[in-house]
Amino acid sequence: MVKENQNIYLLNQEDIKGHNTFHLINCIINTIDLNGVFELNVHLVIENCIISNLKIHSCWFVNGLLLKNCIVRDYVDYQMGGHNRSPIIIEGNVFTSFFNFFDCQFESRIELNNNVFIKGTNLLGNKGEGFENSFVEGWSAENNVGRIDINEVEV
Amino acid sequence: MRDLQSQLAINDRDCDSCKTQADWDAYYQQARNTASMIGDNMDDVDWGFSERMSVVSDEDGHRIYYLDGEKMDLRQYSNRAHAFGSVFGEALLIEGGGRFLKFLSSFFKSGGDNVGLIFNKGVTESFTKHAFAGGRHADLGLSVETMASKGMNLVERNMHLLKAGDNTLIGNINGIQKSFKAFVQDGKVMSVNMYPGVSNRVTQGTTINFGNVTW
Repeated sequence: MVKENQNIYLLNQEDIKGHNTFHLINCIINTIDLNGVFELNVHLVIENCIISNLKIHSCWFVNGLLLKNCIVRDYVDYQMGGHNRSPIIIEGNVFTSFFNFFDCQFESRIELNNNVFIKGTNLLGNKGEGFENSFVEGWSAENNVGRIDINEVEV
Repeated sequence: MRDLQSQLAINDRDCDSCKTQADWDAYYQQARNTASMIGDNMDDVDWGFSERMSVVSDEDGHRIYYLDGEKMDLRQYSNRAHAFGSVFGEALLIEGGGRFLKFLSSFFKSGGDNVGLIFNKGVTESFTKHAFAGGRHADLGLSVETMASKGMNLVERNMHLLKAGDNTLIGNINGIQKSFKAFVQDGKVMSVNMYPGVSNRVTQGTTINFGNVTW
């Protein structure tokens, strides 16, 4: 499934389910709401989009996620996430607010490359806390602008 | 005012009239009403900042409230009168007669903010898979099934305190610091999490102290 060059107010689980892959390209999206969607069995690709609200609290991207060359405008609260059997790749995006990774258990790789985190993120922060993120197959983070090891849960 | 130790010493840690979950819900609602009447809110009470109300947890994790050192069991009229007496004075209680009792009855029937809040589909399964991964709560010495069941019960008992968005519940289980998360959206608890320790990081949303609980 491909959605291209559209203005989307709300995209949620109902729109995505039933597809093996779901590809959003060149869209302006007000809200992606995948809060509490455990076992999201879709390979989700979001590319060249402007997203106002990315709601992914407790979302498990089982078949992976590619978020590439997007602008994400609001605070992203990714708690209790991970549980991905395929990689989560976050590449070439601009996050204008803080990106909170809280107690995520990444079973496959997570890659953060070439992003701009204007207010930072805590993917590699909060060492020693009970909610520190864990990485079964490791992580990579290269050429990001902004701190990715902040010891906070919001900024 | 009696201190908590003397309250515990007389085996006063129970709500005699609370047999079902509905009883407990009503009991907590009545406690909130009482807090409101004396000019406090339940956050103050649960955090120990109220001068007149205090709280302890029983062995099942239920909260037992005390007003001026006396255990509250507001389903009995004498306790209701005590609570109202602190606001309206004993004379009004005597003179009000049936009209006052009618008012009293309607007051205590009022529902909480979160009446009807439910768990979203799959919450228990995801909680069980995520929260206990890697044996991170093995220090409690309990099976995953037991911890998952008791954890869900603990969140359910605090359901009336949850607000939309992120809720953090902190306290001690078997003397060990533990934290829970409950994320609420559209009238549903979308996810429940539990992690070791209690953090001093500033977090968004509501923080609830569930006290000391024995599992």
